[in-house]
Amino acid sequence: MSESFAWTPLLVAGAAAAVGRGTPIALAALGEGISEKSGVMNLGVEGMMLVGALTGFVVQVHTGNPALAILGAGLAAAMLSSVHAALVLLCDANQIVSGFALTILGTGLSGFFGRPYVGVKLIGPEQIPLPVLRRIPYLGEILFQQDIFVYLTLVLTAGAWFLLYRTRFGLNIRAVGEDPEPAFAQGVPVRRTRFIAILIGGFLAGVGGAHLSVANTQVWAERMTSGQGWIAIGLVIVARWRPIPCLITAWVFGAMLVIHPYLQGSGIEVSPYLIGMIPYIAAVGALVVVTVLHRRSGHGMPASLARQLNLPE
Amino acid sequence: MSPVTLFYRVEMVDVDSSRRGTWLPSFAGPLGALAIAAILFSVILVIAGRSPSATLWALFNGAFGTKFGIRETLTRCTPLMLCALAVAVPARAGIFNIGGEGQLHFGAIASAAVALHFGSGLGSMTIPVMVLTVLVAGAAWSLIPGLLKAVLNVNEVLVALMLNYVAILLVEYLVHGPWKDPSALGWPYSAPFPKAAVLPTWQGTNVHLGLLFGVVAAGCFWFVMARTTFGFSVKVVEANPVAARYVGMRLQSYLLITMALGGAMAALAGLGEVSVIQGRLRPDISPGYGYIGFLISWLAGHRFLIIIPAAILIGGLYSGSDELQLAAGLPSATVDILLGLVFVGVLLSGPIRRWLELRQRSLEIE
Repeated sequence: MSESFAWTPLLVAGAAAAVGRGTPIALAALGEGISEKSGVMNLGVEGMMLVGALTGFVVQVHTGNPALAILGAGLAAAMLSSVHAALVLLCDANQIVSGFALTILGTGLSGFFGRPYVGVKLIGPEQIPLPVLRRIPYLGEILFQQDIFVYLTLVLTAGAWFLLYRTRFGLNIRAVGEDPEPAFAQGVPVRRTRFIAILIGGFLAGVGGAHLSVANTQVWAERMTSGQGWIAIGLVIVARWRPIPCLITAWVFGAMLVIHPYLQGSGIEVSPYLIGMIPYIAAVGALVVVTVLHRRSGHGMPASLARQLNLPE
Repeated sequence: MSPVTLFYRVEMVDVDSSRRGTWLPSFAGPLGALAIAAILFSVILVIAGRSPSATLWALFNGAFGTKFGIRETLTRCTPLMLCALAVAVPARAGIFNIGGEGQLHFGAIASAAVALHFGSGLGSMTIPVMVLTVLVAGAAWSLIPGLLKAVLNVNEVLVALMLNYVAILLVEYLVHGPWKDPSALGWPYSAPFPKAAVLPTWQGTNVHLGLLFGVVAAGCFWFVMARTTFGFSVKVVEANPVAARYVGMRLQSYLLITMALGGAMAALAGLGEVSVIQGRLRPDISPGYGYIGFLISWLAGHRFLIIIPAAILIGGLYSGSDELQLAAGLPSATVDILLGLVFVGVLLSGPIRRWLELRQRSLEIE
């Protein structure tokens, strides 16, 4: 009986860790979702996260201020995403190829400029328990004794929902994502709207990357995102382009990333490499299920996603 | 639109898009892309406080300036060429294959399975058996995203990307677990391949049979696409899938066939890497050859015969940057920056070319 008693705090601690590990994915997926809502697919998430992870790490090492780390990481990644924006919006480049270029470029740039920071340790952002909210049973411990990144993610998710569904600009984003040519005829600045959406996407991916290096691992390593950017892109489809489901699925994937130590702790011996496959296989499974379930309705995909623009000059 | 008009549009499809009437030669695009990349790369070098001219010269010299460099370039271009074919074949039918990295790793696993299971038991038949197994394995791995796309319409780009990580982790699992060589002093290596399972090499260098496979395969694919009915059908499927369906072509079967052929090519790259370069199955067999194959295929405009020189060029970037690491102390990530910029150059060269042609035409009219 005493054993079953000990499970509850363990699960709560595990859930809190899952929220922490899921936060980079949540932020990246949120940003990608906004970009895709405007009709632009950005496969550069992996590269933007890496650039954000390095910039955030460097800023945190030198200033110790997580707010500055967030800002720096977001701006650096947004700058990288502007390359995608220029290629896609001004040169009508293929969105998939351009995003891919961004990933390779970001991997290279972060590896190149990050070499002096390999092996450097930093002091991560402190946990800030929120007054009152932290007293909520279970939920308080899981969600409200976290660092500033996690709270920011909660606020931004709600903010993204508000932006997309309750503001004029959000309406424009959705309009240029669904059908850009009529939107253009109505006077919506298609390219400018998409440009801002891409930059928001880049900013959020960078902040996500920064959480990974500054809070989760607290060291910088080349290619440290190891596919989490791709998972984030998959999540957008699984969450059917909606901000709040995006956040929740990201936490589920965060749980898959922290599962191994817990299995070991409970005496189950499985190769960490097999456990490591779980998020990727789960992502494929989730993609299949969502695609099949919503085959008729087009599962909420913006109708003009990754399509070439056809605007009058 | 009636089926008749649609069919008429198919007839009008430009069968050899590389021979459109332009005043620019077909290799101008790739060369322009490389020039753009070199300029952007120089900017980054200046930011990092390096001399662009010295670095670019060292890069070129390391790749093509010495006998050793040329051998190294040819060694590096082998997996790149095969991975580029893995992208180009499905691309000709309008499908993205970004799973080259996973197919390469799965091919490596398959070749290790044959080499470790049979040892020298098959004698001179080892290599043919290994090659066949690897081709089938690569095709099978690429058919996972292929079938999901063909039957359920699941996004093939994302599934293939996820499977890349699964295949890499599968290699890690095998060499840390069941296939680990106890005599490897704790390193995550499999047992070394027996002599019979090592592809023949050219005069004691690392240039191996895989290069010949790549060149021959490129030639075969060119012939099939340019001179056969099947090749024509693939082009029609790519150019106008709706019309293709109206005239009774099964789009799904073209998707599956081209995906399987592509996967088989990338798997051959994995075979070469573990059999010759490493001599055993181990992690880190590829610095992203599968992804760079995607770049090369786009650089070459998915044209099989242009993939050969394009792969040699990008292979040169790899061997040249090895030289940069040793001589100039630049980090290994330098090559990734350069490759990313080549991508950007590829995407920029299209609009620039269009702009140049428009200008030329307006000059002619005047």
